[in-house]
Amino acid sequence: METFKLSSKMEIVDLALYLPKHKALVIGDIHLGYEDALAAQGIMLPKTQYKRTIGRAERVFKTLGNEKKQVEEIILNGDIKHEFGRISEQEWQDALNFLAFLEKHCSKLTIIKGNHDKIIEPIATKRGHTVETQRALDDVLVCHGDVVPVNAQAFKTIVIGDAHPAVTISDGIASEKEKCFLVGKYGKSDLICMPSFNVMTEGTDVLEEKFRSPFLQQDLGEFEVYVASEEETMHFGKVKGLF
Amino acid sequence: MISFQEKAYSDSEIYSELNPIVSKWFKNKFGSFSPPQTYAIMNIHKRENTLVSAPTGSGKTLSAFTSILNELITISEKKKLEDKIYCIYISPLKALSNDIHRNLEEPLREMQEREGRDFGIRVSVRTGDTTTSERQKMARAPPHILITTPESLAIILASPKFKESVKDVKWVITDEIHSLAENKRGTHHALTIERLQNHAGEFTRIGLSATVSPLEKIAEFLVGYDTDGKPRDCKVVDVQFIKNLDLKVLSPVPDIMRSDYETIQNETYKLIDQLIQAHNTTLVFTNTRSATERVVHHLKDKFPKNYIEQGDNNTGYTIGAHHSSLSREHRLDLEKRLKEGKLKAVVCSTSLELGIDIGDIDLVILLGSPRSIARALQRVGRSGHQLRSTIKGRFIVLNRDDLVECSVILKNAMDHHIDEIHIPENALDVLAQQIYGTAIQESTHIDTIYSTVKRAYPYRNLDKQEFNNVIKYLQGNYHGLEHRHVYGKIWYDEETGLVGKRGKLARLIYMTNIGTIPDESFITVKIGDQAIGAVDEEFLNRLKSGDIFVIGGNTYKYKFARGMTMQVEAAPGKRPTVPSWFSEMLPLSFELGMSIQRLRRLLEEKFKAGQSKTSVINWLKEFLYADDKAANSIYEYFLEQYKYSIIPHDKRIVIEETRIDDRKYVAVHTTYGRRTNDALSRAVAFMIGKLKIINVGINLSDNGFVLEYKGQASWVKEALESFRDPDSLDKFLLAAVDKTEVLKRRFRHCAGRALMILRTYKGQRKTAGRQQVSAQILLNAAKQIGPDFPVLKEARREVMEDLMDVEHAKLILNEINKGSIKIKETQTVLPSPFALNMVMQGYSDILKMEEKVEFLRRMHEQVLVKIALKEKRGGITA
Repeated sequence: METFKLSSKMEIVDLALYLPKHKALVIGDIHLGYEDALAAQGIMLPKTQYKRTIGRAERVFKTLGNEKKQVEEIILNGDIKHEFGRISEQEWQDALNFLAFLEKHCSKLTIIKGNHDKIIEPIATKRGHTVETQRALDDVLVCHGDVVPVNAQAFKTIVIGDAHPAVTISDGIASEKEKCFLVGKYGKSDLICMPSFNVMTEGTDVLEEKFRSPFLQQDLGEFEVYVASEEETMHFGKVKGLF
Repeated sequence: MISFQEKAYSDSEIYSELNPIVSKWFKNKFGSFSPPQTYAIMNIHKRENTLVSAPTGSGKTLSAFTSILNELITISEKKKLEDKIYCIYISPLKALSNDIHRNLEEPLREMQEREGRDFGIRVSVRTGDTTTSERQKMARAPPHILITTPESLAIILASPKFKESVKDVKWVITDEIHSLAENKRGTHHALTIERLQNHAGEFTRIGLSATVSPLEKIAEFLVGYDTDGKPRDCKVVDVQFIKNLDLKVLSPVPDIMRSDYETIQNETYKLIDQLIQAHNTTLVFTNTRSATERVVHHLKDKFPKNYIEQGDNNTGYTIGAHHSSLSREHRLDLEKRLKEGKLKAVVCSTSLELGIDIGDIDLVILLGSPRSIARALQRVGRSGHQLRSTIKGRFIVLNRDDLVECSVILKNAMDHHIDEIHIPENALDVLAQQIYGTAIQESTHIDTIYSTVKRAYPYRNLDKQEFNNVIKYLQGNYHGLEHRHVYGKIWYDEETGLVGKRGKLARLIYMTNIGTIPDESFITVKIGDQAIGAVDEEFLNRLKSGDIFVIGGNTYKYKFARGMTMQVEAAPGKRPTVPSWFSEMLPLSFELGMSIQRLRRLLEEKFKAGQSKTSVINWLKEFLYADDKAANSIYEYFLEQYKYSIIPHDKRIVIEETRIDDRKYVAVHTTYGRRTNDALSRAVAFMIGKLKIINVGINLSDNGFVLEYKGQASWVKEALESFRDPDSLDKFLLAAVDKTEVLKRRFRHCAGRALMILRTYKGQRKTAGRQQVSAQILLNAAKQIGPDFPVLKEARREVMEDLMDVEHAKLILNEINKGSIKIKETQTVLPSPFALNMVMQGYSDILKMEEKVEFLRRMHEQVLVKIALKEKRGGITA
């Protein structure tokens, strides 16, 4: 796996986004505890999410390391925890361990609150972090995307999560659904919508469903699609070209 | 040992053995005993396990109940009747239970009236519909004869109070055992019966079955195996063919080949109407629910006078539709009116196949092939309900394949050749559910559980390791030890060897999630926000974007699906690419397929020998018991194939490379039925895909399969001949199904049965849709654990052995290997007559051979080329 250069300011690494100038890595929508949420509904999955999430994140760090790209800051862009009512002891522990794991790979950990993050504060506090609503890095704004921050339009580039975009690629016989980055415009700003880092789910097909995020209410036909497979990132042209 | 009951007892022999009360009543009511009764009553009287196979209306039910009523009355006379269950009668149908209730209570009432006193014998029904207060009443004063369903029986074993009342059961009757044996409901039942035996000690097992083959296998299924691994004793009473068969194949038009669609339709309805009018009550079988509605609608529409109810208020019709999607009230009302003789005709799909008493039917019409000989006999057997009457059935055929199929069915039925039943074996999901049930019933030693399971026919060969893996799964050990408290359903103490239930909710979870029938899920079809109709989930899985299909008489183009809704656009006048009844279609049986293929070979030999048309047609008439029209049409059909291309038959597979609309297809003619073809086609597609790293579209039918891929047609022959060791097929198929839709779907079903997905949990019932959304996630997670995870293993086994027919596929590959089946390749400009129907369908599944990333890379390159081309033409500015 290699990083994929989106622009001089942005590089795609698997499901994450690297900002070389700030040595910052953005990861969004991890949804830890997804299995516990299913278990509460009577779906008894074997536990694999935590391990797989760590494994996938480690590959991201390794790829960056191979290319001698340092990570000073990690920005967790919302929905770290999939929440649904009572949180078990185990889930608390998983979330804390995950933050500890990330701390080892950076000197600054920024936690942005997502729309699913009702209990992230006590977890973050316990590890000595604060919870933000957004993170500005010069002309780049990183926010979850469930609401539009008032100052958003002032930034040249906006990075969001929340929507979990994916596309289905088909050759008429076989088809595969893959997570993707969507790159387009929001007003005058460049908009990058990142895929979710939830290893359990496949994401929401950009061709089949409307996203809820207020950033993505316009026609998405002109958005560029970057498929982020585990092996490599590929540019698939515009959304409208995929029909 | 399984042995056939050769001796029929005489009336006087039986009467002298029976209690005078029963003898007098029987003599008065029936005079003498019917064939199944002359064979069965005395065996059951002697407490021998007995399987009775006889047609409906032959006194089969009473052959089981007579000696039981006899003994209960004798006990009652001695005033020794205790408050406990002596006899359990299990039926797969809830409605049937109600019916038997009437048939049991009536003899009892009549005998009591004759004797002028009450025997005090109680009969009760317990099903999923029984209310809590009724159940409590039953627990306080148990019936002497309990009528129940397989699921309710399992629940009884897990309920602390009620299980005490079955502690001393003497007789257990399983009705319609043939319909249970062929699916997991039967697997479940076989285990329940062994568990019951542990609880209650030895009892007499009685099985009632319609026409089925081989009876020895059903008998073993009924009685199970001894601890020393031999089948328990059982007497088989075989009176399957005691009634005369009056069967005919009818073609609505003189020449089915050269008539247009509309003429065939019109003439078909005319013919059906004529037949109905010439009889008192007719039962019509179509194969699909939608056809059922259509036939009723057209008959009412075209012949309004014939189907208006005569009476003061002319609002009703004397014809009605009956199928499983209709409401229970509607079905019960129709059944009641049918029984009362108020209807001229009832049109059903498969719902009236099983034995509820539907009154006097003097004709059965089969519209379209029933796909198996046993099923055909079961259906026509619904006519002629009195013992001495003749079974009268008419097959109405709608196309040439139908004609051939029905003619061959008729021949086999007349010659008493029946296709073989498939009984699923070693189903690990059902096993998990039953071990959980055992643990809930009481803490039990693991060796006892294992030996109990091995006594059930479907598990007689169960591997100890597989069993241990199921225990491990139920313990929650696959989830990692630290999660055992959340996911464990049972505990297992290695010191004491005991297995017991875990958690306070265990019994509630078990009781509300028991059973083996997956929830049916329907997909809502929409244009934008407007709902058009619904299709079942399996149908959706057959569709690919752009496919055209029919709902409610209109054609639509499939766009995409999201969760439980599907988006389409109207496509008026477009030719459908997928038949909408595909998922309901019954598979052609292997034996019937082989029989058709033998006919083809015999005919080809006659063509080759240059026999005259007259002599061939005369031979056909005699061989198939066919009339002039049918023989003529079959002759023409086969001759056309012979002249245009090559006739495939039981010793020759034909591979035909053909084209439609510029698309190249490879049609493989293998009339082995869909289950065998499913295995063959996937194995071939896998071989091709593996060697050439391409994706292959598979289009499956009963008469063969069509492959679509980018490459040469000769690869198919190479693939078919490359299975030097047919036993390696399992390995290939396992790999081939691994990335398919069908595995995902079956995995969800298995996860439900193994209680990995709970339909009802903490008081909430989940829709099938919710379960579906999780199926992909579930399967992904299960694959992380590894191949020995029992639920995943079972999904694979179910796909390979129950959905597909791997065994027969191996048999065919072996024949190819030995050279006794030859492969012939040919090319056609247009599909040959035999290939036409095969090619016209849409894909049934896709075999993905490329690794995901390879596929994406290839698609990516295409995108790059497209962009480059556009740029060249100036379409895009950078």
